[in-house]
Amino acid sequence: MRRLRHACPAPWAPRWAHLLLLLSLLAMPTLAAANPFGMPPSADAPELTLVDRASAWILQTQRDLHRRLTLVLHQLDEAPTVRTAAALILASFLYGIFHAAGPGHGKAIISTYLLTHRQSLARGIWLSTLSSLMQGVTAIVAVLLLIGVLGWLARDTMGQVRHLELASFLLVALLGLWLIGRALRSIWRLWHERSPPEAVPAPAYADGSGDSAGSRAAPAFSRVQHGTTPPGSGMHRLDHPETHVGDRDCGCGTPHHVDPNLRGPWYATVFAVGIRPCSGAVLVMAVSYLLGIWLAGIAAVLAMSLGTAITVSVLAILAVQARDWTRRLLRPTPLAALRYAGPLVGMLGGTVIFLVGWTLFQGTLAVEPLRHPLGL
Amino acid sequence: MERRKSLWSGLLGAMLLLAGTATAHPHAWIDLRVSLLFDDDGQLHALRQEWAFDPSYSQLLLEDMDAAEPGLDMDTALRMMAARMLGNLREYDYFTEIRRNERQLETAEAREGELLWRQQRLHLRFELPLEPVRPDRARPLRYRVYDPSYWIEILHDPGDVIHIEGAQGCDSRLERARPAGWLVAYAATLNRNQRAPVEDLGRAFAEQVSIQCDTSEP
Repeated sequence: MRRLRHACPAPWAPRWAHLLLLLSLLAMPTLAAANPFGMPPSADAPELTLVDRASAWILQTQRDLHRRLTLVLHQLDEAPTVRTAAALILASFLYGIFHAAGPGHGKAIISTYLLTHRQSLARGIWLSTLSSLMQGVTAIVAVLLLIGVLGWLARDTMGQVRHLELASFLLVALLGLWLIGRALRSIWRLWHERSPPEAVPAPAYADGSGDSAGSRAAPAFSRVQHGTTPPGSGMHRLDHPETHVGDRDCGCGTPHHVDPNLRGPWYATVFAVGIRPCSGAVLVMAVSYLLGIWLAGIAAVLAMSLGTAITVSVLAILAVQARDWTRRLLRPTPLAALRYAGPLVGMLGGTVIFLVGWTLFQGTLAVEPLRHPLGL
Repeated sequence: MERRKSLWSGLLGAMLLLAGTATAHPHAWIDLRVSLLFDDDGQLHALRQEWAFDPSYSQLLLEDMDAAEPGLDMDTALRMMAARMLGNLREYDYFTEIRRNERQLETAEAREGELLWRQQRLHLRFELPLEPVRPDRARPLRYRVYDPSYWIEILHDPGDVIHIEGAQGCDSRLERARPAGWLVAYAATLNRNQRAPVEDLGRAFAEQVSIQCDTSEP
């Protein structure tokens, strides 16, 4: 599939546009997370730009959906009809789609990861979908457990977000370190395997951790395939599970391919992002529990997560495409021949992910929990 | 493999014990209704406000109240809560900024505060006394009502008007906020437990109302 796509570049998009898209995609997560706790640039904006207007529109739509969702939830409490239930699920779904259209650390992590580590489109979409759904499930389980079983107050439950967030941010930072470590290991291997005893062409394992599916199926393409492949791509594609067999003959001479660890970063990303409950989901879940309509709450939260999954998947598709485009763009250049390009890009991604996680962790740790004058 | 699996599930279980949420600011909303009270001399002397908390926030407040003072009858509980809220709001000038000629007017202590439970929502009512003033066309009075942290969004009830009580020849004009795109994005990064480090973040999202009257007395 991948090669097919390579063979027919999108005719509507000039090359520089690809690069521009890639750059903006790369910049997006960094910008979103760069200054999460410091002062944003001051000064009043004198003119409303297109971005301002688009933001205002998104803000307005989010506001409307948030209100509709809340009002429908309480309507359902008063008059439980199928119609109201359907309206609740629709409102939640749309809210999920729109709410995810803002900045967020989960999206920053996922897009950075997909930009700097080769993944198939399907895997990118699965990554987004599963982490979004997991955020919803976390919210549901947390509320049922803490409010339902342990009898906590809804407000206390929501206040405990800090711990889950801290855990998520810390895991993100660890994920970044892990990716850096993998990249370094790849570089180390490449360095040491410059003159290996086996008579296997070096580019076949240029990706270090070995995407054996590609390299063995079509050795002739291996150079193209792996020229800029970073280490994280060592994960076997879901659609080729059988390629595990015989991985050892990829030329690395080490048994690391049987290590289940190879799928590690993918699962770790889902987990690190997913343990932070979905935006607004805990509130909806907690309030519906208080109102005694927790089944409706579960349905609403799941619909919301599905909506979020769609938005994040679109971002994932963009990231995977941008990466493919760049690879194609760089193929004729001498850059593609650089054996270390892949691991270096992977290392860059790992560094960004680490910095995002660590900054957020530190920031959250430093922030005093909020006490609102209108709270009790 | 097995060990790893059990490690992950153990970790997952541990995480789930610590619950929470994350939403972008704002997290709740208030529908605002304002009446401008004029005295016999045509001077504006008070701002009467009614804040309708959103149903979810109202529900949470009720639950808190019930937990803090179990077994209290509704009326007493609402009275206690109103006093507490207004007490807290005092140092924030009741989230109300009133200006004339770019000068901020002093706000006195609110009076006639009460909390009502109607249609699944809490309604906080109070009157904000002002030094009597006749806002003319050249020097209108402007007010904004906002939560500085933008944790709660306060907007005028779209189904209501700003009432002018006891004055002729006065009108009010509501101006929507036009926040810059980066501010909208910035607010979206703030989560539930975070206090915005930006001073007066909510002001950028607040509506501004100007009140002006004809100079000739009625």
